[in-house]
Amino acid sequence: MTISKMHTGIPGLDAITHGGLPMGRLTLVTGDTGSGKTILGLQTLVQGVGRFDEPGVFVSFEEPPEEVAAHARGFGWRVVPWSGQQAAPGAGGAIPAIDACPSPDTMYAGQFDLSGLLAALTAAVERTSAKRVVLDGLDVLLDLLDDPRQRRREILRIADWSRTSRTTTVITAKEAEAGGAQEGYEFLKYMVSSAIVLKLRPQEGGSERTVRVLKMRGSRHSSAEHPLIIRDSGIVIGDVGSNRRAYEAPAEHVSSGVGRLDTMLGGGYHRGSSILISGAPGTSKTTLGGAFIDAACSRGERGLLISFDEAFAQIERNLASVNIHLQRHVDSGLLATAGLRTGRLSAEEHFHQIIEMVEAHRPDALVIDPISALDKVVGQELAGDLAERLIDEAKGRSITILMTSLLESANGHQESTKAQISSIADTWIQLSFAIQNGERNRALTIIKSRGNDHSNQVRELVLSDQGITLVDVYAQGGALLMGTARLEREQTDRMEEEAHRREAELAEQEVRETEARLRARQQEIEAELKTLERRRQSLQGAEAARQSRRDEVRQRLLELRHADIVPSDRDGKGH
Amino acid sequence: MTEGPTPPALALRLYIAGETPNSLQALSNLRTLLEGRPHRLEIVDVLLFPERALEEGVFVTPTLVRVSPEPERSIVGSLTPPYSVLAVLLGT
Repeated sequence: MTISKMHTGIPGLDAITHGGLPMGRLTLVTGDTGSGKTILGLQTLVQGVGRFDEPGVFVSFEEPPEEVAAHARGFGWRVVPWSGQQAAPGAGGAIPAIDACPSPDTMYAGQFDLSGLLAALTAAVERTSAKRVVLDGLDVLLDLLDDPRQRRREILRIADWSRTSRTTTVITAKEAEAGGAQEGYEFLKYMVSSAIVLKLRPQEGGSERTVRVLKMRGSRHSSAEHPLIIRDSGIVIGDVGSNRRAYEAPAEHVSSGVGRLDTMLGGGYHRGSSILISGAPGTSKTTLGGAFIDAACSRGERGLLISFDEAFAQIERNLASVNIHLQRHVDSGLLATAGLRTGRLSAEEHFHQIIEMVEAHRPDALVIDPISALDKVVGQELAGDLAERLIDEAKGRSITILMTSLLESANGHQESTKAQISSIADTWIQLSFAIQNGERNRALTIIKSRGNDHSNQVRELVLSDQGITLVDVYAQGGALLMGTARLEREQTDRMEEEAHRREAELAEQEVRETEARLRARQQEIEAELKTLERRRQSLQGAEAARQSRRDEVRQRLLELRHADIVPSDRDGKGH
Repeated sequence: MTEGPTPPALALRLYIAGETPNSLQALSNLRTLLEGRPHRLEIVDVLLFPERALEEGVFVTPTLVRVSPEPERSIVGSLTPPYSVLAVLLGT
């Protein structure tokens, strides 16, 4: 049996749940206090009535409806406490909130069940034609049942009710405290069709929220923990592309069209990934897009270049000045281009217009320049959603999608579209101007590149009629040097280098000379030593000759005298 | 303050969910408690009148509400054991 899905309309949640929550089934959302459970519930209802024409009812077990309404106002959502005179299907998009907080004055004596809740829900759904119901903080009511078996039975009854009334129901409950004595609602996760766990982790300078889909009956889902961001417009779930890759073979790299950028990215962009290039006007966002599509078409792949509010001819001319020539790809049929006019069309129409072109041309590489053009037309919220859906569509077709985003303000962090896309995009490259010595130079930073061991260094982007190059940026006392300052620095460096080289040469020469001198002296000494030796030998020879001659003489004298034979005779007779 | 022949009027409303064991138990316990006491009792079956559960905010059953005398008091459950609820039922 296949279970159809109900889109929550929460950016990213439908992606990680592969389509939304099981329709007409029970979904359990557990989480720590402050992890965003109530907001998630409210947003599902607000999106339901606003975007999908599905009315909803909010039942609050923990907070009085007035407080929920006040909380919701912070996001621009209208929540009104339930009243008997409730107008039919969420009048004016307002969400009715039923007060089901147990009164502290109530006495409990003996066993009870939640039949009253089911009866009340039945009446409320009938009155409002609700398709979505959120039971917020149901654990508060379940806590009153002291028998765990009874809690399970009541949950099963709510699940039954959800099925028979065809109402998609979300229960939120506090997460059991780790190591706490309380059993918590761990068991609930086994009894519902889908379970989502939210987490809140205190962090330096704020706190980090995450969401994880624990279970999704009858469908695949991301099992990863995704960042959950609470913005002024509600919840946005980030990193939704990452799970898809887990199912796929390691992605192949495709060139960015700029050699050194490929190196910085650890080989290039991943095929089928999404790339966001953001920057102020004139930082060469389009040029990088053009380089990418040029590289794709030069490989024989198909490209689609969609520009907003700028004709292709103009883009072609601009790119030609940096040696990127796209017309030849158009001529060969590999590249299709479209200059779209913003305005008149709704976000949905823009989306379908783009998808139609994708279907018609079947590109391998898609560039949308700039996606931020839609901000002004359909509003940032919808533009962000649209970008997210485009990324999704591109991924589904293994298209590498590159979107540029214009930052109007210097502190672009407030730009909602950018914030949303940048959390979804696999690679995010930021271009900026650095002003130094009265000169503006373009700087490129890779802020993130999922699955790539990328460089974090800043590079200067240099455009010339030879094309685009990235050059190293000199860090001098912590400051980055670009443009003329960099050239000067390079010059200084070169001169220093030369001086060093000369010095080294001189030193070497000196050493060589000294060595030669010493060697010469060594030879001289050796020669003297040899002479000395010869003299000694000759002296020794002369002495030996002299001695031997003397011995010879003495012998002859003795022989002549006959002396030594009878030396005593000489004294006894002789005279 | 004054000793009168007529005690304060006791008006009660009991919300039940059909003939579930808890509801039947509450009804039976209540009858025992009320024996010999003048009272008015309204029984609301939320399965038959879900609108009333919604509008009157009754999400657990059985629920006994003392409508009069004021202030209004609620007792949730099968009223077991019966005497445990007597103080709340008759108290101020």
